[in-house]
Amino acid sequence: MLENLAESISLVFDMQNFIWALFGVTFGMIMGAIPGLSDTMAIVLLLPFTYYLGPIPGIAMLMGLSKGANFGGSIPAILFNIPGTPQSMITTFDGYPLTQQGKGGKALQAALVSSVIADTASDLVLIFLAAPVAAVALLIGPPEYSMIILFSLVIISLAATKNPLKGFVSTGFGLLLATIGCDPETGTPRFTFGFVELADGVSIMPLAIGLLAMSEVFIQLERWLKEKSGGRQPENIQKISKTRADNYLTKEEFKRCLPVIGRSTIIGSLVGIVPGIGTTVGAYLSYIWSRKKSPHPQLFGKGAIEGVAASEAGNNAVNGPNLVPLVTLGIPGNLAAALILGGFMIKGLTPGPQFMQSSAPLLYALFLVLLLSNFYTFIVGEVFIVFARKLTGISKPALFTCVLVFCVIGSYVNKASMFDVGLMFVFGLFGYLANKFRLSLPVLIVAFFLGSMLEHKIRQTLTISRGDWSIFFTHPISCLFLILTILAILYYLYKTFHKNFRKVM
Amino acid sequence: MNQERWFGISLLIISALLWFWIIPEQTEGSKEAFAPRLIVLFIALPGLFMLFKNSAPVQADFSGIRIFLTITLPTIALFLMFLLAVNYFGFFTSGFVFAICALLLYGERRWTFLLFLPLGLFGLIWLVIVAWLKFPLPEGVFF
Repeated sequence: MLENLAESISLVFDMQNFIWALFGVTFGMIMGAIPGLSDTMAIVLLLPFTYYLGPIPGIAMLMGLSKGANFGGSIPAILFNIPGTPQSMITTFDGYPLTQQGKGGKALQAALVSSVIADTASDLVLIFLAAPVAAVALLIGPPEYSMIILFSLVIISLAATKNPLKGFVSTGFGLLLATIGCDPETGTPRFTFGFVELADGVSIMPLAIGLLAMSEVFIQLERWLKEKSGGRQPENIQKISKTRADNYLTKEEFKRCLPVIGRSTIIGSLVGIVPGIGTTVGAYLSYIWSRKKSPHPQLFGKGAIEGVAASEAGNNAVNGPNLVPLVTLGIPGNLAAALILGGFMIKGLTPGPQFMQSSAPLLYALFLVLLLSNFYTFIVGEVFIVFARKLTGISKPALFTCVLVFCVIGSYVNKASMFDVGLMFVFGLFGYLANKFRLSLPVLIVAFFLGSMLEHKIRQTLTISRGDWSIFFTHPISCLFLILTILAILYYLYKTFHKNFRKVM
Repeated sequence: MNQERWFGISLLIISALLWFWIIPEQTEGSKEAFAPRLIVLFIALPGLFMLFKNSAPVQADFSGIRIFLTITLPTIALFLMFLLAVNYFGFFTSGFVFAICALLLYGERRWTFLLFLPLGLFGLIWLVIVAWLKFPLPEGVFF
């Protein structure tokens, strides 16, 4: 491996690689910062350019795009509560409250630092553990997937909300929304209500933008008017602190965030190794785990800097290991990895076990380019933050108006469909009502995200077993997660009834 | 009866509607209906628990009906009109009018602000999304 590394270093030191990686990171960050334009769209837009570039600069640009867009998505998430990319939606939980306290600059700084550290660590996982880890990932098949997802859903419902019953209801609504569209096996439409546009199901962007951004505008508007009518002078301008302490991470905060980043990197990396689970799950599991471990969990959701660090580290740590199945087995872990695979193919490269042996120096050169892109993300991100945090000085009426306009753009550009804009409007109203009844919108969105995956994996499992449900018990990993799921529910029931019983006594 | 129990009853009604009416109506067979029916239990069972749970009353926040009627409802109506107008007048024209109306609704009266904010906002959107990224936004009779 060391020989390969030495050869790959000589391949990397070419000016072209540096320039195209920098271009990729910058363009990706701009695209990620525009709500609705994700890393995948950025890759799609620039994929044709790789025809004209060599293998290393071409793929360096694509990987830079993915990294830049990942951080770029957290900018509108923190400043306006609009996730720029689906994976940055967990960052809104604490990032936006920090902006409301005038600490948007600090939140952006925390997001950048945690993104870069976690991304670098996860790239090292990719470099050193690619081959052995790929062998373990092969053990996880549809039955194991199904039970891991089910376990995640139950834990999210129980742990992510103050009232687990409402957590379950939120999960139920999320799962129900995920069943909209054609049946994954028979292809017949379900809950489409005659709309052809719903045959493919509901897109994540109109759902997330409607539930998180549009409904938030209504809630903020009411709060703003209440302050006005209560005789208090409303804050017409979003608070924006000019003190250094509110705009940068202090040493003490950085020290507090480090264990969170470390923990989230491990969780994100584990999630990333398994193809198909995705960055949102990595971010959410990291967030929940960090809240559980925090000495002040009550601050999470109200502007905890560790919350931003956990979410950003969790979603970025997925990136490196997500490439493990791609480079070792030729299986893309997510959509972005699938597009990068397209980039490999354009250059006449076919990732897989053979590729690891025959083109090892080239592969390690690409790994080194990943580390270079992280450095660029940090530098370009620092420049971006200086300009971006000034946006929070905008007046409230202007802010509400701009956010509503961006809601329309964010939900439209995904599929160039006004139907999606209509869906965003409906979800915005639903989110407003759900907020009033204190349902957890983030739990609902995560359940929606996992729902279609769960159904698909259960159907696959039952096809393998020819309809025999006992397959979930005969596979050890699947059985373990099933038992853990049942134990988690029983523990909740025991706690609830024990408390009620003691009250009666 | 506390709000939590009302919410529980509402969930049970929604679950019943889904189970007996919407699912049979919107699916074509028992195989397709299996997953939705299983999910309805995720909604119905917590609803049942809420109905019987001995908990302190939790008030749903509907105290600000006046505020809702003064600002939220007009915003929803204005936003809906904007979305409907996009198909006929295009994104930029209807968006420009929407932005001015929304600013007026939120108490903004400075004419410079009323003119330059929408101009700046939609100018920037046009530059980045339409001119640079070559992504067409809905066009209408004017623009």
